[in-house]
Amino acid sequence: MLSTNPFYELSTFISPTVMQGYIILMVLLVIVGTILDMMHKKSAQYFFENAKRAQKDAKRTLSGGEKASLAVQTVVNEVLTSSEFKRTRRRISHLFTMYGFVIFVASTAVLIFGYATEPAAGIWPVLWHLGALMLCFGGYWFWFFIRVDVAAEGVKWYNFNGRGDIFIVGLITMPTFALLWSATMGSGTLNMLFFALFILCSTVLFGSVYWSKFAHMFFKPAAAYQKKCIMADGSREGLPNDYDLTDPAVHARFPDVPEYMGKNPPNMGPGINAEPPAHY
Amino acid sequence: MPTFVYMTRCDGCGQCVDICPSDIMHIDKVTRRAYNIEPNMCWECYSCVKACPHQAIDCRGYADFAPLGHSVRVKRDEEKGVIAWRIKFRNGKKDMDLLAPITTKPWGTCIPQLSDVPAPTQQQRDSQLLFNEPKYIRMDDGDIHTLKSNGLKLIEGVEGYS
Amino acid sequence: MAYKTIVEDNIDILVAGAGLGGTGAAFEARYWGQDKKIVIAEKANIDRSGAVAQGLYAINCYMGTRFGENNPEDHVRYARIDLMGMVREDLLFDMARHVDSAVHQFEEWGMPIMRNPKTGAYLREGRWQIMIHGESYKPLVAGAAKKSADKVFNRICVTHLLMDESKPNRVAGAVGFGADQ
Repeated sequence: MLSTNPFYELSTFISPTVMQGYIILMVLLVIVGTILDMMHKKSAQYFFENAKRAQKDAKRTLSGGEKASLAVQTVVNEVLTSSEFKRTRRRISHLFTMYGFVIFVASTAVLIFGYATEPAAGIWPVLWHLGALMLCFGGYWFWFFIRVDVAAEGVKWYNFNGRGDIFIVGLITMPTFALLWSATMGSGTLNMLFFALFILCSTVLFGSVYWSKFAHMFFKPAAAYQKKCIMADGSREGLPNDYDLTDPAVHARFPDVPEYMGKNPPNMGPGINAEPPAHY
Repeated sequence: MPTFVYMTRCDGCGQCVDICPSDIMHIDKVTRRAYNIEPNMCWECYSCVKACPHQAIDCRGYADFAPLGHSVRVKRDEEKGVIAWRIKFRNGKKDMDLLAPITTKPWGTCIPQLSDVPAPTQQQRDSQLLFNEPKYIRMDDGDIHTLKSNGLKLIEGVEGYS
Repeated sequence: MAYKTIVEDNIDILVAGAGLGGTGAAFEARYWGQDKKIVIAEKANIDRSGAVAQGLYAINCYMGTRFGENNPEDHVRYARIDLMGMVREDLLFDMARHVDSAVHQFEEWGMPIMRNPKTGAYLREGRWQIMIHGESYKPLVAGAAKKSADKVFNRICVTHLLMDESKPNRVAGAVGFGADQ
C-alpha cells in the first residue's frame, strides 16, 4: 500500500492536466503570497536599510568570496540542520516538519507530473507516504507540546491562539488527510471525503501565505545570512565581541576576569538556562 | 520605548517571556514572536535582553535620561561566566567595551544540599546561630556576637533582650 | 478562558515571595527542617525577581568583623543616627550580626566579591558598602533556593492567608493566583 501511487486511482476521474494545473496554481499562490507579504511588511526595504546601517559601523568590508562562504554556511547550518534553535526538542521537531514537508511536496509534484496514470512509480509513493508521516510526527509533536504558547504561556493544546496557528494547522491537517485518503483507497464515499479534505487543507495552507507564517521559510535564511555578515564585518549590530577568556590580551584589558576567575576559567555550565522556559 | 524585539532575529523560544519580572514580554498571536506588551511598565532591568539566546532584544532608554542615538547592548554568557557590555555614546565619540565575571564557580556546584549534611544538634537548635555560624562569621573560631560578649547593655525604652 | 486549580498539600514551610529574603529563608529552612516539605510561591520568576533582579554591584551593610572593620553595634549606631532614633536596636543588632556569614556564604557559592589589592580585605566604598560583581547575584541565590525547596511555583501571586479553623491565630495555608493558567 505504501508503494502504490495514490494519484493513479484519482487519475481515472480527474485528468492529470487538472492535477498538474492545481500544483502550478499552488506554486503561484505561494509566490504571490510571499511577494504580497514582503510588500506589506516592507521586508526588502528593512533588509536593505539594515545592511546600509551595518555598512556604516563595519570595521572591514567582506570580499565576494567571504560572502559566498557565509551563504554556504547559512545553507548548511541554519537551513539544512535548523541550527538556529538552541533547544534540542524544538530543533528535532522542526527538522522532521521541514524535511517531511519538502519530501511530501516534492514527491507529490513528481507523482503528478511524472506518474499520474501509472500504478507503480518506483520509490516515489514510498517517499510520499514517508514525507507525510514525518510531517505528521513533527507537526503533532509541535502542536501538543512545543508550540510556544503551550510551552511557555500555559495555553492548552486545544486552544487556538490566533492567526499564527494557520500555518501549523494546515501543516498538520494536510498530511493527515492525505494519509487517510491513501489508506482508504477503494472505499468510495469515505475516500472521496478524505480527498476533498486533503485538497481543502492544502489549498488553505498554500493560499494563506499572506496571512500565515508560511513565508518564514524564505525570510529566515535571509535573516540568518545577514546576521552572519554583520558578525563577520565587525558591526555586529552594536553587540559586544566574543572574548576568549584565556587570551592574555583580554586579561590585560579586563583584569577583573583573571583575578576572580583565574587564567583558564572552566565551563560554568547552564545556570538559568538549565531549565526550559516553562515557568508559567 | 524600553525593550523591543527585532522580529527577524527572534525565533519565538519564550526565554524572555519566562524571565520577565513584570510579566510584560509575551508572544504575539499573529507572528509568533516575542514583544513587549506594556512599555510603560518596563523597568529596563535587561533580564529579557540577557536571556535571549539570539540577542534579539534591545532597549531604548527613556528619552529624558538617554536621548535617542545611543546604543547599549549586552551579552550574558552563562557557560563562560561573564557578561559583556558595549556602550556607544550618541555623539559618536565613545564606544566602550566592558567585560566582567558573573560567577567564580560553575553554577550550583558549590551550593550544599542541606538535606544531606549532618542534622543540627539540639544545642544548635537552642542557640542563636544560623546554619553556617559561628565559623562563617569570621572564618575562624570566634563566636557570634551577643550583647554580653560585646559589653553592651540595652537602655530603658527598648524591648527586653538578653 | 477556563483556569486550573492547583492544590499543594502537606506543606510544612511555605515561602511566599522568592526575592533575596525568601530564597535565603528557604535555603536556611532546609537545614533546620531537613525532612520538611518546603514550597516557594513567587509571583515572578525566581531567577530574576525581587529588588536585586537585574543585578546589584554592592552589598550595602557588610560588617567586616573578620577583617576587624566593624562590629554589629557600630551598625546599630549608624542606623539610629540615620533614622533619628526611631529604631528597634535589638532587632538591628540581631540582623547585623548575621550579615557577615551570609556574605561569606555567597562568596563560596561563586559570587565574585571585589578585594582590596593592598589589604586583601573586601573592597569598600564608604564605611558600610562592599563592591561585588553582582550581575548574577539573584540567579546565584535562587540556585540555592531551588536546591533547597521541594517545589518552586513561579508566576503565582499569594494574596490571602487561610486561617486554621481549630487553632486561633494560626495560619494554615495560603491562596494565590496565576495569570497564565
